Amino acid sequence: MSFFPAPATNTSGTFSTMANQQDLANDIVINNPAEDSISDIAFSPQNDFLFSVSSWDGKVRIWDVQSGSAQGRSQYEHGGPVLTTRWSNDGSTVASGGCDNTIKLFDVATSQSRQLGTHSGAVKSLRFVNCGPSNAECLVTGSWDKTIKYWDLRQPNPISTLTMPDRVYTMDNKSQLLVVGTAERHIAIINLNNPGTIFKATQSPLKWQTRVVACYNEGNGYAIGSVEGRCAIRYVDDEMQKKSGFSFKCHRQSNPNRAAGTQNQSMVYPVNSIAFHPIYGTFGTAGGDGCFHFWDKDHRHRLKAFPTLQASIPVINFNRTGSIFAYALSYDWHQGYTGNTPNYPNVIRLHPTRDDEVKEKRKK
Amino acid sequence: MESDLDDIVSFTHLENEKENIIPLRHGRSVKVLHEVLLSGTEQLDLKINWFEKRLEADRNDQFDTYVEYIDWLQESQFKGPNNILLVVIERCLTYMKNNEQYRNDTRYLKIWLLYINSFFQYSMRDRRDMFIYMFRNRIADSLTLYFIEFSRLLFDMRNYKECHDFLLIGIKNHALPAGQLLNKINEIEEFFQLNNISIESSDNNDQASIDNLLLKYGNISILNKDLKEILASKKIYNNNGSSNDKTKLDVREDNNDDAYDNREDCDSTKLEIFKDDSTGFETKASRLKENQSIVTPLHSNTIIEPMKQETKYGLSNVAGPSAKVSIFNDNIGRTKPVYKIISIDGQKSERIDCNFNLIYPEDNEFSVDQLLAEMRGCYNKSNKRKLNPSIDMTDGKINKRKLIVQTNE
Repeated sequence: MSFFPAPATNTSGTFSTMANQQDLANDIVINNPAEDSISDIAFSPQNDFLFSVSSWDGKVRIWDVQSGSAQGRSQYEHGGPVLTTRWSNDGSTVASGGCDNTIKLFDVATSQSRQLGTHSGAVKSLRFVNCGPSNAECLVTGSWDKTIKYWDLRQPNPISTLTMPDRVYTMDNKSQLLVVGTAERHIAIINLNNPGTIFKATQSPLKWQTRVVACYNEGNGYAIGSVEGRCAIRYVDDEMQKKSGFSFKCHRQSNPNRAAGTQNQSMVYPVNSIAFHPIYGTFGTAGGDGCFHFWDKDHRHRLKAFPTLQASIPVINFNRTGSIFAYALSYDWHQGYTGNTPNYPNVIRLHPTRDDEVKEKRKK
Repeated sequence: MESDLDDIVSFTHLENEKENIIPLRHGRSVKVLHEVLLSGTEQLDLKINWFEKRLEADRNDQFDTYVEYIDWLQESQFKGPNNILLVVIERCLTYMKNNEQYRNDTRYLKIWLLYINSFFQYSMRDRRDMFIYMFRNRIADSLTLYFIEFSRLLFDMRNYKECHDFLLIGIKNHALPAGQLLNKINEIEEFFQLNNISIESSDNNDQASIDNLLLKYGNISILNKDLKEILASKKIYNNNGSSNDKTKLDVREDNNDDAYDNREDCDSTKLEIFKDDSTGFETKASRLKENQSIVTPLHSNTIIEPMKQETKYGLSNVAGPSAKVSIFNDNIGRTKPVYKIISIDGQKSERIDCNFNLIYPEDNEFSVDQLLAEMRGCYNKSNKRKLNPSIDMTDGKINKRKLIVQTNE
């Protein structure tokens, strides 16, 4: 990673699963990358250093960190807060959706944006998928209008509309698996070989609201993060689920200054975002506590825990090779308006990942 | 035989506490200790209440009850003198201070000594003030024990002459038992001879010697009065008075409430002193001054320096940033973070840093993004809640209209 400063030398020489501030010292920091909270970050599938950021200020910005410092390349606007952004597989187009109910496409080469289509509710999540027998690339969008829609980028009307059990909160796909997480803890699993029907409708094993779902690289399962600081590791196949499925607690801390005589409580924060490493298949989680952690689901252990950054992390993502881990710090509204203060940070940080952080460890 | 067996106290209960039991000079009743250790605090409180009720019942003469009460407290509060004992003793002493009947009662003196030795053990000055107070009020002035105790304190303070003189006052007052007093004087005189301490008994008048003694200490706080003034008035009093004992008794009468009537007869200054005496009993709490330094005898090779004044610190404290007073509070109008507490049986409860009132209003569920969108005015959750996927088209129109409004803004 030529553009990141030389990594800090670990003086102790021993590897620790607890990172300290030193480990974050080499992060590239983009202060105030938008005028409002960050909603989504997506890297180009064709370029290690190009990423788009959607924000509540109604804009999508494309950043380039090729030179080692972040430079804004271009931006385009929505008619309302933008909730999601992704890149097409060839890296030529950025798609985005937001509270203006529209889906917009931005041509990176020409810097032209156009509207692809609309939902009847805010577009919460979108993904470029290869679906159907022809394996054609299309865009799938999930909305609070309780539907997902498949789009051919050349046509103004959706190829297909699929009704979901409730409002779509989150969605993710890997290879032929598309998982949609909705309100009331419903989970809809769609096999993209047959995109027009829900392959399996199930419910989240976690007790409270689903915040995020993320598919495994193998496309055989998905992780769910919820508001109550838990992650569930799920498999589509029932046998596999019985054997390997589990859930674990994360993003919590025991309260150090509890009053004497009160019962010990652990402070629990919502899991806001989960992202899988594109190469190693390990994954990162980020929460309202301002921490992000790297985990290995197959060996069921934590690879690395990072110290809290004192602000909620709404979204994380890896670049295409997993060498850069991007995360945003901004207010995510989990405490309503009272939690929002003028000096709440609004920052994007890019963390150069090291193998000892994200690579699964062989059993000794 | 059987009754004897009943009286035998098992020591097993005492075993755990035996290091904590403070010995008393006259020994402790194992039976009482056993009872106290077996009974809970409620039972002790019951007993205290019982004593308090008894005190209320016999208002005419509470002394016997007080003696019993204090004895019991001493026995039961085996870990040493505590606040309960202090309060009760002070109440007793306040109650007794004008009582002639028990003035020379050994039990009364013993309560005084208990009070002085238990609660003022670290301050010689306080102890001395107490003894002087007793002397001025002629408490136990014919009991040898009082003179011996006071002289012992004076001896510890190395006021040898006063110590000797004071014992002489005891003899003059015909304090009983006289033998002990004489023994004590002999003992001290022997000590003086051995250590070559000379006592110039320049004045045989005991009253003058005690005045010298008093003068030596400068202003004595218990009287709240300048000592020189007192002594000046005393001289007038001595000049006026014919017989010491006689007038002293008159003075005692002056202490009563009708003293005001006698004021015309007596010297006004004199009267005031003794009025001070009658009200001069200070409780320990009121005596306790924050900045009082404990007075201890100086040892050899001690360097005496002027006391360090920490004025600089005080000044900087006033002007320093630490003295900042917050006038405006940024938190006004803001509620504290709302947490959802989930308790699971057998596990420690979880406190979720997420306002569940917002995301779960009235059996509905909203994601935090929806809440934020609603705050920004680009999402109406009440409409959305009723939304039926089958009427997509109409709803789509409404939303489009809303969108136009928003873009106009």
